[in-house]
Amino acid sequence: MNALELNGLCKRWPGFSLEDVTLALPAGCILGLVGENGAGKTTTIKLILNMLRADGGSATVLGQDAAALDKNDVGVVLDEAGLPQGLNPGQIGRIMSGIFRNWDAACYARYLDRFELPHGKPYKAFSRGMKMKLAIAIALSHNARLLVLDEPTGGLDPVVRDEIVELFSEFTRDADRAVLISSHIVSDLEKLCDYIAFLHKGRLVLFEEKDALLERYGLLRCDASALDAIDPGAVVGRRDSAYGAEAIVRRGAAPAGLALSPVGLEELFIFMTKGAR
Amino acid sequence: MKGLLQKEFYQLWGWWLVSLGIFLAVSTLSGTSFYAVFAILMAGMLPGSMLSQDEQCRWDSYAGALPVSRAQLVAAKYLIALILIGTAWLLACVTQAIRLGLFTREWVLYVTFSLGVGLLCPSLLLPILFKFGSTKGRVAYLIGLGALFGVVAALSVSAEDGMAFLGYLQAHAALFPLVSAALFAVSWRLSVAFYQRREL
Amino acid sequence: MNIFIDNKSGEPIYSQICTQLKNQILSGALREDEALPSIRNLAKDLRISVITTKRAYEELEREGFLYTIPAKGSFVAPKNVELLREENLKKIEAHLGEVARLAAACGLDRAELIEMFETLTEESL
Repeated sequence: MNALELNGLCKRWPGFSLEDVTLALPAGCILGLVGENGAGKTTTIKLILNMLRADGGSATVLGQDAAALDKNDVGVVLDEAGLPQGLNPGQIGRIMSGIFRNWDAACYARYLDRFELPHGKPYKAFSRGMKMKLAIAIALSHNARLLVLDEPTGGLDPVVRDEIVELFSEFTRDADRAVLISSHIVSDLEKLCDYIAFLHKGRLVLFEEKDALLERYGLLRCDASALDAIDPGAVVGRRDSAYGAEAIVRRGAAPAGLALSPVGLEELFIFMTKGAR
Repeated sequence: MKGLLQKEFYQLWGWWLVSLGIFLAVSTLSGTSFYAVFAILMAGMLPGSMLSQDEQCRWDSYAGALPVSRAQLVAAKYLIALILIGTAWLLACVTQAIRLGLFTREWVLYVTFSLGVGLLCPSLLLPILFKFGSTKGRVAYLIGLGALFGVVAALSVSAEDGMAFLGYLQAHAALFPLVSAALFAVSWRLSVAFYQRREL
Repeated sequence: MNIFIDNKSGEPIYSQICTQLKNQILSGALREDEALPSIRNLAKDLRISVITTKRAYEELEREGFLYTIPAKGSFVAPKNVELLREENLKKIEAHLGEVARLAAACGLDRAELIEMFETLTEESL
């Protein structure tokens, strides 16, 4: 069963439109949403959560239309977390227990301790990292089946990010659950995701299994003329300098003598974005 | 739903109790009923300013991702309005009874009018804020504040003045809160309809 | 059971898993009918994608190294003499290819190569 299915999803605003986004996230998997600022990641997430009305296409979440979705099953972290300023985590926990059907107060308390969030300190005194951690604690404490995360690791140092990414990975040890995560921090997504979707200016440029994607391409460093000789359809993007050229090329398209080094997700996207401009 | 009301309480209660205390003390000590009526009016304004606060801290967005319906989010504000206005009104009635005497004409008039006026304020402001958001609705907010301030000033009475005025209105006194209550209910329905169309 | 994934080697991850598991099965480190970790647990513990571990297990099953019982998991297949021979033949072919390449690179002709091999095998016998 698919945890999430988007079919031709569209949203139009003056000055920006999200067009024809189609993808599917099977249960038990993690989907990473990448794209530059303004590419449409937050719009896509809001359409999934029925916070915006689609202008076309459909979104099916946990088997139901997005408009009929029971949000008790969805754990959400939004960019700019959005909790009331003057309240402390203890109060927020009590509020959430009156909102979520399956709120687990013991689980929430454990996360607060694990993240070292003081129960009595008001939210407005929290650093950005602490605010994110609190939102994550809430999202993980009500037995959700799907996590929808919009930039959940912003403001966190690498050690904490690694820990949090590990938490999200553990979430899908259970094959019934799934995660959708949008992030700028591509290295987190590379560790975590099974699928990658790349949004650029409101269009879905790519939706693939992450490992297959990384296996398909390699980084080629050679002189510019050798690069010119390769079929342009196999070249994802190139960078020329005074000392030669480098490009991301589909394996198999490079001539036999030239070695391709493995390419990381971040490099792939930088080259793809620059190539698309 | 219960969680939503709890949120409003956590944000309000300390501040509200203190304000009520101050207003009522001042109104009992002063010669007019102005301050007590003002407390009731302020109670009516508070849900609007809570909405504004919600928008500033992006709670309104976040709440859109929680398992609460738009209708419940609207209900939380209207119920809070009723609770705040109700408590202010009851305490004002008690303190004014001390000053004007229980069940006197002035007191009855005061009781019905202040309730009517108190309910009026949120009924008029909340649908505007739910439809347009507090940044655009702020203009209406300020106009409403100014207009009602003027109404309160016009309505506040000292024991001697306005007896004739009171006498005239007393005949129609019972109607005013009923009309206001009906308006409140209509406003609630309208707000739900507006907010369900809002994009977050 | 030890499995080490090298992200920087350029070799596809599923292939690395296949090779390492195969070696352990052939060497006897993993015994017949021993339970293998589930696809999901293996992925989470190695911090790689579930899709990749699934692919590795499917390949191993296709080549006869493991078998799967629905709802129970995957287990090491009984050692198949044919399989062992097949694997070893593949390895010999790969090594021989490398030998041929190296010989060409340093100008060693076939006769010299065969002489070298005969000397070596005489010594080891």
